Amino acid sequence: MLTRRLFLASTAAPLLWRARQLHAETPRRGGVLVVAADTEPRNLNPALVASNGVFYVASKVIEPLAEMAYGEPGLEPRLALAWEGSADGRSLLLRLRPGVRFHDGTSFTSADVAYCALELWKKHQNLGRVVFKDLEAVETPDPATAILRFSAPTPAQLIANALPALTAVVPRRLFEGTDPLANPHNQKLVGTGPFRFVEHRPGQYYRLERNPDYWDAPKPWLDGIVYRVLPDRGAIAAALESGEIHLAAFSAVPLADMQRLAKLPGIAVIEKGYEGITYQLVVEINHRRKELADVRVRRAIAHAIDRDFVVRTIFLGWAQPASGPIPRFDGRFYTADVPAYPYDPRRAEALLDEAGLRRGADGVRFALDLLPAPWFEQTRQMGEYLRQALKAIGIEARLVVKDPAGHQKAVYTDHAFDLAIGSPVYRNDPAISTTILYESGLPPGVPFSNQYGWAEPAMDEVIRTAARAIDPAERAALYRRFQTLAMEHLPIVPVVEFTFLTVARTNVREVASNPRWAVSNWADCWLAA
Amino acid sequence: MSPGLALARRRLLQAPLLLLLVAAGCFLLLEAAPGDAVDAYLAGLGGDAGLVRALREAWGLDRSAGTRFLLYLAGLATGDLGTSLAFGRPVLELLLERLPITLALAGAATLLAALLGTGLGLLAGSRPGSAADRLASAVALVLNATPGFWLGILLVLLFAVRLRWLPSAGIETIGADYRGLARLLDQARHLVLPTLALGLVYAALYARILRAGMVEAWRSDFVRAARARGLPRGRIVLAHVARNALVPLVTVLGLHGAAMLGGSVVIETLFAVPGMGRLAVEAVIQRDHALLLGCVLASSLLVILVNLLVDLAYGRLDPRIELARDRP
Amino acid sequence: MSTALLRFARARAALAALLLLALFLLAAAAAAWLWPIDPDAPVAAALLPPLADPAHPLGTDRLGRDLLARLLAGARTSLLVATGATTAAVLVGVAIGLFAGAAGGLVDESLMRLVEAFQIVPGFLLALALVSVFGARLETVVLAIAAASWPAPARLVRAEVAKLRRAEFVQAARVAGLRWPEVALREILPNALPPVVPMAALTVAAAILIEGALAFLGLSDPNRPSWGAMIAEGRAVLVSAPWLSLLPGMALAATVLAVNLVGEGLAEALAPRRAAA
Repeated sequence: MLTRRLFLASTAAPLLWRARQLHAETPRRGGVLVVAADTEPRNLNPALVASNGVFYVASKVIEPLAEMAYGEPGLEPRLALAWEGSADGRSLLLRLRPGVRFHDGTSFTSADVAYCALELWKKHQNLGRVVFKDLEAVETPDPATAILRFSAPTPAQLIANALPALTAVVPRRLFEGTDPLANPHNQKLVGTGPFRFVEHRPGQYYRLERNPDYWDAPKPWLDGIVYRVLPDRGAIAAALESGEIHLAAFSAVPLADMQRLAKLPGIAVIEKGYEGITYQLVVEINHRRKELADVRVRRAIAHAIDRDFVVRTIFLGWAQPASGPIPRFDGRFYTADVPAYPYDPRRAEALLDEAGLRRGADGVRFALDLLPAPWFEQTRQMGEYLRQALKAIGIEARLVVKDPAGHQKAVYTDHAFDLAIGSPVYRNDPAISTTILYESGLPPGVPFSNQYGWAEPAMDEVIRTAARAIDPAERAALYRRFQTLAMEHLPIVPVVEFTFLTVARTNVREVASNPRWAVSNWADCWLAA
Repeated sequence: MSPGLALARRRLLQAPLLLLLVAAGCFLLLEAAPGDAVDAYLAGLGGDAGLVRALREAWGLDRSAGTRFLLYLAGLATGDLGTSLAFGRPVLELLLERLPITLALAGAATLLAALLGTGLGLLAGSRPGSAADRLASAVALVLNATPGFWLGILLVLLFAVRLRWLPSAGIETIGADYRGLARLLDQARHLVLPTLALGLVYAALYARILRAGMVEAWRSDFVRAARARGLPRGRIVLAHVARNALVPLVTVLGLHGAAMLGGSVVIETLFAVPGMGRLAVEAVIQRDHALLLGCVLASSLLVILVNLLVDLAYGRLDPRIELARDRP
Repeated sequence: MSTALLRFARARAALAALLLLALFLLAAAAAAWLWPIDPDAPVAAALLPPLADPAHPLGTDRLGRDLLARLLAGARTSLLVATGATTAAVLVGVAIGLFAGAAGGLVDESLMRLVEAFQIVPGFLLALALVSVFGARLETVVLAIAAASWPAPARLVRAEVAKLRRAEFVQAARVAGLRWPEVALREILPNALPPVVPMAALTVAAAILIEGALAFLGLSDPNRPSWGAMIAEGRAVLVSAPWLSLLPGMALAATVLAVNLVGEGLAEALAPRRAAA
């Protein structure tokens, strides 16, 4: 029945890549890595909460079935050794790594995977609820085999792409029969990872220690990891410079300071290691506003934005213009062959005139409210920039800044905005968190989804078909069509795509060893003398 | 009963009413706020409609505001401060972790302000118009106008980043595992910069108040008479001038309890001090009713207590002052 | 002899402060005319140091915006917020203080409990919560600071009113047949106001600092430059471009200093003349 091997993980390519680095130096055992953390998630269990804030700490303790890797096929085994989908898309066979033990000494088996898949990922996890919605049952013929059964065709490629972020495994024994959301092990983590959870002092730090029984011995090289909670970005920069911490991930230092830090001896700024979690800066548009429902006006807005200026001044070069909803890094789906909107304010003005929105006596065509999302320095700065850019073409934008809850409610529930600056994440497959921004018919209140009042039957059709397309080539073709439609109708305007930066002292080695490095397990990371 | 005690008793009797008012106000504030705890939580995550509904239900946010407030009060009556939605932990536990840190910071800052302020004030007020006065007054004037957060940035730049004498953030060296005195010293080292950033402004204020009071006292008939009698200047300063001027300072010190707690919000953020100020800000952003109410009730209770102490001390320091209820 | 000198010196300081403040006000009000550069528009290369280019004497910020224009616009924001908040706080405070003091009894008692309830909550925290929750707009910032500042004038006025109630001229007016509201407005209010003036000056100074701190934490109207927000932005490049946070910080301190001095001068001038002096 399992006729076609879709993705048998090959380890050859990552090994080659790593061999180049190992050539230079042999890893040294020992040392505690001190890094900055800026959030303390309420629930730290990655099986329940798929977010980078959670993974940053928890991925060292609790591992997924596979991790992203540079080169082909893009995945490296962790708790699963291989995965194969059936031709009808209704089942997926997982071969699990034998001889792995959880930190409490019990064995990791297919029963743990079955429990997590059905009870945690599918029922409670923010992303798993979408990807695993058709998961019906998990068979466990033996401790090292699990077979996922789906009630409707589900692309094996999608599941494989979802493995790194959505499939963290916790011991069934500690969760079964409890309310998983209230389980104490959502804080006191128990997993199979290279590090064990020691303690969390709220407001101060998380402490992890080396797991001596790690399946990938002699890794990990570090004796432990300490996450210092430093909510203030300025404080993080100061702590790095004064040597109090080794590393800050997720661009936790203001970009402007990054340039200066990069020049200091003993400190390096590393751009790699985030390709698998590429963010975009987008202009979200409320189509209920009649001016904005006109595609000419949306195109005018796209023409008014100087993407190179945004890259240069807001991101100081650490970003690139976005051509569509899928980032360039994902060569399997990305296409550059879509309508483009180069910076051209005169063309923008012509489009607005054409739409019947002429400049009034005061030079203003119409006024609107612009809500930059409050979470990134760059979303706020983009808000300031867009206000200026719109002013140049006769659109008066008033900036409205709210706190996260207020922004969430205004944009995704109340639709009380005209334009917003958002920052959606591309998570290794368009169906995980990207198509939801374009599909219609979602109820109000769903965060980071199409709450824009835009509905396009052709787009819905492509998204629906792709969700059931088993053949990777067919999927790729459908998602290329998806990108074309997205850029033709321009319901939201992608501006730039960006990844984060890591600032680290130069004695931290094997930084950025995979495309999700900051949220991966750091088993290979080590401290040079 | 002495007037001081009578006032104290009255204040104590009114405290529950005040606290109820404050609690209702905070609750209303978060109810009026756009978005609830689930919106705040999902702002970093995303999810589908089912998850949103399930979370609201699990967190009891599907019930009416009135019901939730009454439930909170019922819990409060039995000494239960509730559970924080943002942290998933009992509020009391969080407060017990954070409050001592804020108290240490605010206490150290108050001590610094009182000592340095008195010193500068005495220096300036003993000989108004002298060079020492001018210098001390100018320093106080400038410091008093300096925003604490800006001062904090400059202090970090100088002492942590440039000179590396003091840590830039946090409250102790992580993983150092100091015990006893060593740990205390380590913590004290971490508190130096935040204390300076928070306390110097108040030191300047107190110096100015003290000096103004002393200048006033020099003009009084009493002191004029003493000077006419040829009493030594030093004795006049200590026995009459400074003593009279110190009394109002005590009141001011007490009144600043609330302000100090407010100021520590910024300083705690700046120096990554895990105190109650930061916790309260987090509670507002996360729309965490129980946590915000816990923080505000705790700080209100503190302020009430400090005011009580000031009232008692006031009566003792200067029995002539009538503790009239109309005192502003 | 020494006291006379002292008073002169103080008056001189207050006068100088008043001049400085007037200068700030003028600069803030006439910014668009004095220095006609859009403070929000990128106009030159980013991070231009001061004095490097005569077209931008104080240099530019990270996005290439003219720092002088932004400082002037920041002065406007600062002074607008501070005076707006103070006006609102004093109006509300005086009204409530007068009403409570004049009405007495249960009204007085309950209003004073309300005042105390506001006073035991740290004012900055209250302002921060209000702005965070209701959005960082100019009006919200003004109202939030006012909400944190009105109890002090309310208590002061109420105390004055309570004192004046017993004063002879008030009793006389009562005997003459005036009703309470009239007495309160005509006889008591004008006499209760003088001590409010120096307090208002102190409130302005405090409001400037609160606005600065809120803006520093990212809670200022994004449509207007604010000194506190500029300090926060400049902090990212504190070492490489220190002027970006030093200059707004100094502007903030200088303004507060001037307001404080003027307030002191006012207090001195309005204090009841001592028989001995």
